Amino acid sequence: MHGHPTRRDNARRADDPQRRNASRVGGVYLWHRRLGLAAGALVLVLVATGLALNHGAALALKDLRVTNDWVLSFYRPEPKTPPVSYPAGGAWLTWLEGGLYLDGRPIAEGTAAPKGALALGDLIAVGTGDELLLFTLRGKLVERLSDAGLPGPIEAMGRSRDGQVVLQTPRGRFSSDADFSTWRTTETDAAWSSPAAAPQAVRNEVLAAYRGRGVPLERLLLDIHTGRIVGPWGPYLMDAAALCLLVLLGTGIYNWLRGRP
Amino acid sequence: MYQKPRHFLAEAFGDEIPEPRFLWVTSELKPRIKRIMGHRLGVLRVRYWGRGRRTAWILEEIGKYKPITTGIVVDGDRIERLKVLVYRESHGWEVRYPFFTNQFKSATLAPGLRLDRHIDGISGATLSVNALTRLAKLALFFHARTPHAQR
Repeated sequence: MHGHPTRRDNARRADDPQRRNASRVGGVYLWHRRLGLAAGALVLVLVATGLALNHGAALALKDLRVTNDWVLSFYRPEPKTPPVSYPAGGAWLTWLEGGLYLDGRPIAEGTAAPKGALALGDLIAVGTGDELLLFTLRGKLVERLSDAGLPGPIEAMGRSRDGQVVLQTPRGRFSSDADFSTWRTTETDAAWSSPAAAPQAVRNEVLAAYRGRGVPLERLLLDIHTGRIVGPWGPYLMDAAALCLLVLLGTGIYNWLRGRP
Repeated sequence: MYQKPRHFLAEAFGDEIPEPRFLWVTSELKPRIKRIMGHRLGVLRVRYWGRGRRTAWILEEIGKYKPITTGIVVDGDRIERLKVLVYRESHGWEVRYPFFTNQFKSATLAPGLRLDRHIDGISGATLSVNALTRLAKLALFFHARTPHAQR
């Protein structure tokens, strides 16, 4: 009666439908637990971000901005090219990947690399290849002279001894009055504007401005919710978490129907 | 480039091109400029040339992606001439032809900052047509704020 189970006993147990069933349910329960543990963290992220996004307007998520450097590094890579600065009177005009900055303050976007910058009384003139931009000393754009109003593509920009602005173009050298209304050919030499190393404080401000005012919290939460924040494979990770939830639902129902805890 | 601005001005004023003057974009003008153009102008001043009751404007507006440089002459509060000076895109350049630009001759600004007429469009050049229409309205609007406007 008592003692080790015989081979016949084991075979009888293996054949027992109740035992087979118990083994299958136990297996499902185990996988339910494992899947739950594995996907738990991601599901928690999905739930937390989903809840927040659902009440985004009430939480004013669009108005809140995240300025943490580590977070921003996901959104704005470091500039691929170094900034280029020109002294203009007592100020520094810096160009960085299409953006113009005056003493570190952004003043224009979408511009080509400057060929020179000059302080002209209460204006700062910046010559790119195909336009001449005039700014106030505080960086407000006064006027934009396109290539239609210039004698040619600007190769260099400078000032003659008598204070006139001189442009070097493929068609020759031209000078103009302070209003830039008329361009006349000239042979006069000029002190050409050339790039120089801006003070570190200015460079730091330019880089900080380049990285932006931060990212809206709503966008950050959305990117975490969808997995996009970790890269192109992030959404697949979140897809997997969502599918795990679905499987958990299935195994949970199965376990419940089978009476297991 | 179809015509240099200097040549356009010479056509408008003869050999004696007046010195440019500036119309400052004040806070009073900004809302109506935005209504005309659909966006802020982004500059503090606009240059123009004027003599008598005539003013000439070299204005730019983006068609699809790039700006269209346009010369507009306003005389006696009506458009005398509108000409495309520089067209930088590969499509929609038909707007430079007189069959289109002649529609703006004698146009004036109606209440509501609209032109006093309908401008027929060109198939495939809708954005350019709209850009030039906006510039025509803008030139008329600006002209009325210069000393050369009809009193």
